[in-house]
Amino acid sequence: MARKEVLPEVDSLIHEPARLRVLALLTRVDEADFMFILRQTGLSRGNLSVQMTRLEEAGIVALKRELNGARVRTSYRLTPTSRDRLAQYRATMEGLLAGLPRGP
Amino acid sequence: MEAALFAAYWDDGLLDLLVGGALLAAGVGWLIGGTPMALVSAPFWVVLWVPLRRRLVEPYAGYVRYCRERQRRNAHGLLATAALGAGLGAALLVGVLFAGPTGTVPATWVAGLPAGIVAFGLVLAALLTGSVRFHGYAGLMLAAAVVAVWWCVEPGAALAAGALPLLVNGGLRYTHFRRESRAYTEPTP
Repeated sequence: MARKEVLPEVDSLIHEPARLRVLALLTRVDEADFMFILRQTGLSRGNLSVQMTRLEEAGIVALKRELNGARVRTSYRLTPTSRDRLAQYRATMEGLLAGLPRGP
Repeated sequence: MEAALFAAYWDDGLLDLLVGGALLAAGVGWLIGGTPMALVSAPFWVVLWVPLRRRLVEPYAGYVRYCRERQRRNAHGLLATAALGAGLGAALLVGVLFAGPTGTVPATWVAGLPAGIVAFGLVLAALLTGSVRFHGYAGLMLAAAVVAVWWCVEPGAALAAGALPLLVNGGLRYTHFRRESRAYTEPTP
């Protein structure tokens, strides 16, 4: 018989530091392109590209390509379903962090 | 965090350069051709914002669209600013029309009125964009207005003098922004 876990499981897809920073950014804006996210998070191009692909494959962010003058603008936004997943992650983390000692 | 992101949106110096350019053109226009020429040039600079931002900033800073609440607040702020600007512009016109020995407004005050109004506009710009430096520009513009009244110089000269800090700081900011952008735009070795 499987042992019932008392501590909730953390969503590892969201919990990864680079992805968490990207998601924290995207929750505060409607949409942003790759360059904007790159500058604001300070991640390397390669790392950000990998993280955005992971998030897109998981259905947390949606990609939009549109013509902007002569250039193609690729922007990202959170999907409607990702909000529930992020809210669940937050609740889990708040529950876990509540037991930790507070700073001075 | 959203407010910090929004304030950082204006850090590249383009807004400073455009506002500075508009004020310098208005000031010089005033000195050359009088009030109408100064007023006519203003919309031209507003129209320049989108294409210049798209060409000079967006490729390096990236594109962002803020949430609806922020867009709504900006629209309300801009509307309020435009209404205030129109009101103050009308007050300026009345001041100019009724200035002089027989009028109701002392002529010496009129010399500082345009720069004073612009200083007020710069404070609004600081509040709208969250860019503290615009308070500094407003202070300098107000000082230019006081000097204009004190020494009875042309109103256009005060506007042009108050525009210089915006142009200089805007130029420095944009240069710094482009230099800093190299790290993001050049391919990783």
